[in-house]
Amino acid sequence: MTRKHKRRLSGSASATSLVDQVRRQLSKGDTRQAVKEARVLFRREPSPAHRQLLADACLARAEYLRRAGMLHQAQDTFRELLQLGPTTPETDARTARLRVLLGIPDGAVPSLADLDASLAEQLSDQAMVRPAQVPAVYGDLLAQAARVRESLQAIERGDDQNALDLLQDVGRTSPLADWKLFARGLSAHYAGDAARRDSNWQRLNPQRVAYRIAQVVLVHCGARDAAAVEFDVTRRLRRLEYALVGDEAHRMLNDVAVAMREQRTGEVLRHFRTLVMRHAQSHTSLVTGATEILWKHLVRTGDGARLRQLMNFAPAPVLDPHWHRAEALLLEQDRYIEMNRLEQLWQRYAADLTRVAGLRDDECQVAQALVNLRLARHLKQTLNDCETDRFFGDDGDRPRGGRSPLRKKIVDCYRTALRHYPQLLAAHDELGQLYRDWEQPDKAVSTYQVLLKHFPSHTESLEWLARHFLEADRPLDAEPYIAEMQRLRPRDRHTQILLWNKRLALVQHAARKRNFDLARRELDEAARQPCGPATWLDAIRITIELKAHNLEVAQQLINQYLLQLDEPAVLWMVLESNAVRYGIDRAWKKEFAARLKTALAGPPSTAAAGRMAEFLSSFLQRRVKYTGLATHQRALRAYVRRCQQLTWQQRDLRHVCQYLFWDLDRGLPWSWLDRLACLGTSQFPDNPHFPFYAGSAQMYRGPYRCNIQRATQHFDQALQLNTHAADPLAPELVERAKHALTVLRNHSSLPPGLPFRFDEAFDDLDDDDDYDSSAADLDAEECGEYDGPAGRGARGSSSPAIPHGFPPELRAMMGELLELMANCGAIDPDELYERAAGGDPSRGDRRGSRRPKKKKR
Amino acid sequence: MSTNPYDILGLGSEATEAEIRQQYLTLVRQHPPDRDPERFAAIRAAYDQLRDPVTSLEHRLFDVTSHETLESLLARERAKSLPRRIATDVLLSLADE
Repeated sequence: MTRKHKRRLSGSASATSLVDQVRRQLSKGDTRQAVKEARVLFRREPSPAHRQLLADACLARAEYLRRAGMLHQAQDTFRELLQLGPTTPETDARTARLRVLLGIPDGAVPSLADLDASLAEQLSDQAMVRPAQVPAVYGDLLAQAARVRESLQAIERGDDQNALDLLQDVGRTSPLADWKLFARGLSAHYAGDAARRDSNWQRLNPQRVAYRIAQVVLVHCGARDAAAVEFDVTRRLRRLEYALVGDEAHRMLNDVAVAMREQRTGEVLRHFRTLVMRHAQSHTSLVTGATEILWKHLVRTGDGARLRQLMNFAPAPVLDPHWHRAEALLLEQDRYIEMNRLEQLWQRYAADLTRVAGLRDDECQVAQALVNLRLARHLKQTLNDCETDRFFGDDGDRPRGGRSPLRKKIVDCYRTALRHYPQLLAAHDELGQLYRDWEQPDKAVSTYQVLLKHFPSHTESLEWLARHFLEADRPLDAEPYIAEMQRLRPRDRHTQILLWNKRLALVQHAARKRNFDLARRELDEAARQPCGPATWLDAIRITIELKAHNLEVAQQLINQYLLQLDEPAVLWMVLESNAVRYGIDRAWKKEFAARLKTALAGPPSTAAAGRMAEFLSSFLQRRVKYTGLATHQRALRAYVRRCQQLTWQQRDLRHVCQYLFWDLDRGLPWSWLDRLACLGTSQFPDNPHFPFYAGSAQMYRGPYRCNIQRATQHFDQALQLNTHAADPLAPELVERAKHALTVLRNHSSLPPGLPFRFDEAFDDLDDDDDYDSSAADLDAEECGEYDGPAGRGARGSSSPAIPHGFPPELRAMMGELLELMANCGAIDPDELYERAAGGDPSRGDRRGSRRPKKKKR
Repeated sequence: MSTNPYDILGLGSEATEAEIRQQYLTLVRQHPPDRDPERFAAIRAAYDQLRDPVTSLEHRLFDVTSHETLESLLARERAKSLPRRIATDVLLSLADE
């Protein structure tokens, strides 16, 4: 007792106030102080009231100590209570009850059957929790409680069946029935059967110990909210968590989670390091899972420094034993990727995957293939960037020395991927596409043929191979692919077009071999399911008869078809091209050329322009040439120029725009396409072709004149309309639109005036080298004559090229200045750029500095 | 909503084939096609992706966009630790205050 307290008790405090104080303390549960003060009070004045007060205090204290498991202290206090002698009947009854519970023998102890139910329950709880406190006279109860405890221990061992067998002797009326329910519920809880657990535990008596334990377990597993429990579970919960091994690790992980939520990354790693140091061995899955989350987070946020910190102490992920993958993925986040480093990392990671704990052997092969595929895609992207975005960034990390080494690397990666996993469809497909882009059709053919061995129903490959062989005038080679397409997709529109093209190719093939009967038969078959304009078939029919020297029949057919046509120009154009392609007499060719010239000289018609444009587009799009194509192009351009003031039908205008789009590569002024496409956009707003062509015209305007915002709007509109269009864009055009949008968005954020050739956006998709190299097939006048200011043959003065290495901060200003100077003719920009870059002005091997080709004639 | 198939199915990327199938069946029962066609379609598409060994492995190897958090990991670990059997003495000691 404190000195202050003693002074108060012995001195000034009155007895009445002390009685009140003891009662207050008892009501507050401060039994220890209440007993002390009651003792002082009773010594000072041993009245019956004070004795009763001391008895109440001792009883409360003994009960409290018993509940707290302090048996000896409880018994001492109880003995002090006994020394007071009998008090009130009510206190005596409580004393008798407590005597039983504390196991203090007092002559005849009532049998279990004589005890009231609540005391029996209390005693049985005690027999379960503290059997030593139960008088030996209750041997049956102790034995039964021992069986229930044994049952609980069996559950702890996982021997649930034995546990339930041990509980069979406990009857429903037994005071241990609650423990039976508890044990059954516990068994169900461990088995994950929440319904069975709840059905048992919901029947527990809330006054019993079993109920309290069950509530703590429920709160711990998250099945019940702590606030919903009638008593305070905090201390019990803490005790349980401490008893379970995982408590500390979970708490520490919680600290990591809190720090991460509050974006205190340094603290995250500090907490996590402690967790790893202490629990990496005992909590492998927890540490591994957290490491997985953390490295991914650091890669996503591009925090390389902290990722390296994490690598220093955390266990490496199962699928990345040396952290190569994490480093590579982090490197990929950079805007300018160090390709050599990335390549090195992915290759090391592929080597790591030869044998990894987390993957089966077959999965290891697939994983290695996927890593090589990813690397190939990155290298391909780098190649594309080099070709389309070469003015931006420093190219120090980019592969130098031309495209060939990089191309070889890309192909090697794809091939390695396929060696690891030959069924990797994406690798076959992308490799084939690459060969197509690089204009290596033979390699593309062999790639797709290998693909078809693994995926015989891959219709895209079948279609491409069939189309390739048809365009190469090898209809017999195309035959098996078309037959397979017919088997797989008999009603598909593409299959029908392929069939039709095959028939036309066979017609030409047979006609050249002078097998006219076969040619006529195939032509009749093609006419039954037409997939192209009837005029084309009519022209072929006439051509076959001319080739067969059936001049009268041919003349009759010409007369007959002329009567049907309102505008004969397209017929003469098709006939003239057929004369070359089918190899009929040159006299006929001249005749058709003369008639075409006459027809074109007449009043212009938009319908005729549309049909001729449709015919020529089919050649330009497929890059198929015939002698006289250039003359036809020139004639059509002149004709379209005369049609500009006329009213257009949607179909004709679309064909003309399509033709101009393909013809722009030949140096046609972009303004034609721009004007007509904008006309189409306003007159036919639902057609996706016109905004696409309008956007393309903007792109061809060159870097300084292109309205980036407008071009972006056009392409966006085209793609949006295309989703529900009746006449959708071809997949190739959709790809072009997406690519153009990427280029436009990449460059829209740059400072104004930065030199940029927009026509390069299409470079990787459409290269005109074949036209350059095979100029002998064209009319000689064609080369160079139509190279306009934005044309590809002539480097437009509006789009000068600044070499790599030129200080980036000066590029914008230099670009504008040079454009002005070049437009005024005051300077040759090539020379100036070369001098500025310290290069040799005479070299002139850059694409941007290509000179206009010389005329052959 | 995440497009990661593991997120759609509510699984960690280390889930086994059996777990994926089990979770798929559970979710399909919760979102039948007649009552919740959009969710069902998403679940079905995610399951199809994960059933393809190449796509599944691609996600496991390269996907850093997983939306699993430390909190969800903690909850999962706690749930995993629940079936761990509590010692009888510890259990009975919870009777005391």
